[in-house]
This record gives sequence, C-alpha cells and structure tokens, in this order.
Amino acid sequence: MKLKKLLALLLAMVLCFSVAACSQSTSDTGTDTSAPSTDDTQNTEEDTSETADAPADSGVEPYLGITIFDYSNNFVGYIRNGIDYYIDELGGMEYLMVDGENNQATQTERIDTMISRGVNVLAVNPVDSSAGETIVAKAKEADIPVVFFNRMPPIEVLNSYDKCWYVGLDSVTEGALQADLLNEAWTNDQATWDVNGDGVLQYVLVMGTPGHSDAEDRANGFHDRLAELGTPVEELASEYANWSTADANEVVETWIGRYGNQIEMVVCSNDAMALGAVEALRSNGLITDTSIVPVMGVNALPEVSELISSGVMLGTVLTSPYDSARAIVDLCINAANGEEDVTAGTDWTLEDGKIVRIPETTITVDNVDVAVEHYKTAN
Amino acid sequence: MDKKVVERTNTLGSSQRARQFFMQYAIYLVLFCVILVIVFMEPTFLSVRNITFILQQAATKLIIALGVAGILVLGGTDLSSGRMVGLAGIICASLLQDPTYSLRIYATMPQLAPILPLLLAVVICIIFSIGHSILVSVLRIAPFIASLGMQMIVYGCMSLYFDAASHSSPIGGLDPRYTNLAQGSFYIGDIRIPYIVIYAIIAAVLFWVLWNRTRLGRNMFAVGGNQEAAIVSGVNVKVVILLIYLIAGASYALAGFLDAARTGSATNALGDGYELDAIAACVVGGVSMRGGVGKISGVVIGVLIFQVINYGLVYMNVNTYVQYIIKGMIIIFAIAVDTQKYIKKR
Repeated sequence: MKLKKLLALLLAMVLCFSVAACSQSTSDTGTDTSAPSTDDTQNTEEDTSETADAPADSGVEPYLGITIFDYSNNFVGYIRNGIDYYIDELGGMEYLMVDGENNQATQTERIDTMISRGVNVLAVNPVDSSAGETIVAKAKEADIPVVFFNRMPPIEVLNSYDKCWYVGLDSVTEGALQADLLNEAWTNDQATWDVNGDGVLQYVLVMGTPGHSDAEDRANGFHDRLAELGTPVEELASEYANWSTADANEVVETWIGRYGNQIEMVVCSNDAMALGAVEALRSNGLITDTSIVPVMGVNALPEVSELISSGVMLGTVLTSPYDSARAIVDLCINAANGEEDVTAGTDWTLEDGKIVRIPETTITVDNVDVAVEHYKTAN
Repeated sequence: MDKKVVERTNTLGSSQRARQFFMQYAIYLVLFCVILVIVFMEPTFLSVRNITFILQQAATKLIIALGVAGILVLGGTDLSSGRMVGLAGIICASLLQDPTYSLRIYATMPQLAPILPLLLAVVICIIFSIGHSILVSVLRIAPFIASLGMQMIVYGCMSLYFDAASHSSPIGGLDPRYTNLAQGSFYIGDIRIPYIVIYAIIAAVLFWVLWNRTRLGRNMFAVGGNQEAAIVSGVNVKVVILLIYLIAGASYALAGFLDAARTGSATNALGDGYELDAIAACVVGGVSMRGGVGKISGVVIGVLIFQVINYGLVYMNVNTYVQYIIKGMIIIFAIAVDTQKYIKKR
C-alpha cells in the first residue's frame, strides 16, 4: 500500500517537472509563450526596427494568436514552421500558436483562451470553414482583427466584419492545375503515356477525406478543367484515402489487382498519398528504372520534388507554405497596428478587399528547383 | 474448451446442435459469405494476384492484432497500439534512409544494417509497454483509460521526434535493403510469395505456441478468466501482465518497422486508427472483450475478414460511405454471435 502511494507521488512529481520543463523550452516554438510584459516590449521593438522590409510599425506591439486546424497534418506543418521561421527573421515578436486537434469545438474553445490571454490579432486556420461566423463573432466582441488562412470561410462571413481577411490557396485551382499537367503530358507525349494505344488516357484518382472541403474542391476542380480541356480520358476508379500514405498505398495496390497495366496514370489529391501510390506501383513492377506509370500530387513536398527530379514522378502543384506564412504574418502585423491598408509595405495584393491569393504553380522536372527553394526557406 | 463444447453438443437435440455448430463456425461462414458475394458481383476477384495482395496487406495488421489479442485475453484493452506502430515506423525510417538520398536526416551517419533500428524500436516500444503494464497491474488504472493516456503520450513523443528530425516532412528515400524486406517476394513456380506474409505466419505460429504450449499462455487465460482464482492458485498476476504487454510492445515495433518499409515513407500519421482495426479484428475473430477467451486462428480469420472486405469493397468500387456501413454491420454481427456464445456457456 505504502509503496503504491509512494509511486503515485513520484509519478505526480515527474509530471509536474516535465510540465514545468516543457513550458520553458517551448517558448521558441510558440506553443505557450507568455503574454508580452512591459519589460520585454522594449527589447522586441528594437529588433523589429532593424528589419527594413517588415510592414509599417505604428507603435502597437502585435501579439499574435495563431491556431492551426491539426498539428498532425504535414502540409500545414510547413506553414507552421514557416510562421516560426518568418517571425524569427523579422526579429521575433510575441505569439501563441495552438492546435485545433482537427475538432472545431476544441479549436473554438482555444480561440476563447487566446482572446482572454490578450492577443490583439487572430490568425485562424479553421477546422471547419463553416465555423467562420462563430469565430468572427468572437473577434468582433473582443474588437480584434482576424486573418483566416488555408480554409476559406464563405465570402459573406469575411464581408460581415471590416477587420477580417483571408490568406490562402485555392483548392479548386490546384485541382485544375493537375488537369493542366495531365493534358500537357498527354499532348506532348501521347505515344509514351497511351500504353494500350487506344487514344484514351485511363487514369485512377485518389482523393482526400470524404466530406472534406479541400478534398471535394480539388477533385471537382480537376474534373471540371478536364472536361473543359476535352482531353480524351477515362476514369477507371476513384476512392478516398484520407490524405494518408498507407491508405493510398493499399487503394492503389487494390486497383493494380483489378486493372493491372490498364492504369496509365495515377492522380492523387496530395503528395503524401502520391508517395504511397509510387511505392505500390514500384513494388509491383509498374515503376522501374526504365518505365513508369506517371503519378502526380499536390503540394510539392521535398520528398516529391526528389522523385520528380529523378524521373519517378510526373509532376505536382506547388502550394508554397512559406509564401502563405509570410502573407499571414504580414497581414496580422498590419492589422494589429490598425493600418488602413492591410497590405501596406508588403508583397501582397487584396482581391475584393478581403482575399490574398498565394499563387500556385505546376511543377515538373523542368522547374523542380522552384519547389525545392520554397520549402528550403520554410525549414 | 473445444472438448467441452463437443461434449455438450452430444447431449443436445439436433436443432440445438446445429445452433452450436453455427455459433462455433459462424466466423468462417462470414468470411465465406463475404468472398462469395464479392466473387458473385465481380468474378475477376478470384485471382492469385488478388489473394496475394490481400495477404500482403493483412500481414502487418495481423502482427499488431496478435499483440493486442493477448491484452484482450487478459481482460484489458490497448488503444495505444496504433501510435506505438507509428513511433517504431518513424524511428526505423529515420535511421534507414538511403545514404545517397539528398534529404537524408542523419547525413553523416554510416549506413546501418536494418536489424539495428529494428532492435532500437523494439527496446523503445518495450520501455513504453513496461510503463503501460505498471499502470494497469500496480496502479490498477482501468486498461481503457491507461491505454488512452499511453496513446497520447506515445503520439506526443513520436511527433516531437518527427518535428525535430525532419521538420514534419515525410521521411522517405528509404534504403532499398530495408524496403525490400517488406516489399520483396520470392516465387514458388508462378506464385509470388511476399516476404512479409512469411513474417506474419511465423509470428502467428510463435504466438500459437506461446498461447497453447507455455505456462505464460496458460496463466494469461487464467488471469483473464478469473483473476482472483488465478491469484489463489499461485499465479503471479503482475508478472503475467508485464510479460504479455512486453510481447505486445515488441510486436507493435515489428509491425511499425515493416509498415514504414511497405509504404516507403513515414509521417506521424503512420498507425493512426490501427488500434481500433486491430481490436475489431480480434473481436470479430472471437476474442472476447470480457477476457479469458480467444484463439489464434480466430485472430487470423478476423484480420483476413477485414482485409477481404477492405480490398473487396474498393475493388468493386463501392461508395465510400456505404463501405463504412458494411464494416460496421459486420463488427456488430460478430459481437452479437460472440455474446450469444458467452451466454450459452454460463
């Protein structure tokens, strides 16, 4: 009995120490930085004034409250790193960054917590873009600006509050650019890709998570643009693989079992799934040193750039995380400073007074360096 | 246990005998019916290639399920298995990148033999398992809660390492010697036998020996069946629990090692949701969640049923949402049968 109590006490102490230790060490990753005290304001002000290309500073110290929809999402992880990196580059500033744990209820609670911690601008990557209204209501009540990113709330929501903007990529465009890639490959080199010589490209489509707006938008953008281009294609099958490498690997393997070498191209709605597809094709002899079944993804992750430059993968769509991170932070600083023009002194332009679009680019073996560069800075 | 059922069936009427028979072999019947339906709707399904793929995809899942099954027999449960698999996968992938790969994390590290990271992963998983078993056996925390806590802790540790090692970028460019262990295969005549299937068979045989031919196995069933009785008859319950958790930890590590090699890259999403798949497969295979009951053959069949369904539904192009409904119904059906069996025995 005594031993058990002792053990419990010991465990409790270990827990206390580890919490204390962690909250100290995480200040640089921004998970739990303390509120700006008057003492270190001076310090930070000095730092920001040194960097010339930073947005205009009107004296209010920005204190950012950032929330990411899910820390375990790889792509948004790059935006997260990019924000850390860019803030560091600007000379540092106070910010909180919290995980939405892929659950809108959790994220909304944490936004409350950040507001009561005294942040003066919010950067929100919502779990569910339809929760925008609730989040805007909270920002309005606290009278602080809010910059949404990565998932766009309805435009009416953005318009309902004058201190509300959106920074992001457009999933529909990303899908459309995949269609362009497919079409380009087909027109340039039909002889190589039309394996069965029937004049039609047989492809399979691996999509994200069912009911997920990015997943549906990319698939729709892809299908619509293909119809518009009129490329002769046949979709053998499509399936959701939850943005997951392991799931995509199994799905593609199943299709290999069903269609074998009838599959002339594999289109994946993100790069993580493309990696799984490549591995399935490779282990079944459909990707060898001399011939490939072309695979394409979206994101241009470093792993994928590697495969594109070595000729294993056909291409991908760059969705620059570093540009996103820069735009988010720039807008937040200007908004916190109460600038009339939220894009003043930055590289960004507003669409409809509300939206900053980060340009997407198709990446093939010809311009793969561009993608590598955009991720290098994000690390 | 089998003998008892047979003895009892002899004294029963024919309708009851049929009922007993049905209960005993319901699970094989389910597998048979599922295959029949799929073949009926898609005759091309019945090919050597498809069967090979199904076995290949089931392999790592079987290794995880075997580990979880022991804990279920003890009367516990383990929600941390998926994350343990992920942890092992990330450790192995990060240490086994091709030396010529430009994004190699440990750029200056010499090329390691694949066995070394595997051993490291086994050791790390076993350390977590020892902690886990202490929570359950010494501190008497309900296994569900203890394993939920462990799940989060393991996920946190794995993500910290993943973030620090590769800046949350998928770890790819794996050493071909390593990926070949999971993706490679050999041929018997025209039939391709993936290595990974052989590992799974070996694991199943080892677990069968452990469960049926060792004292630890007997004690495991004793503890799961009636812990008080086990204590009275001199079984050291804490040691039994410790060893079963430890073996489970080692099997998760092996599964993680193979799964990362199979998919050719690893992220901290690796292993997400595997725990529930493994538990569901065990339960469908007749391992009782009340503890004390279970067979290795049941676990194997349970895993195969799920893989046949997963593979078959995608093969037939069934709507994703309908797939969920079908899988849910099969789990419920299996548990309903399991519960009936349990009532009969009392």
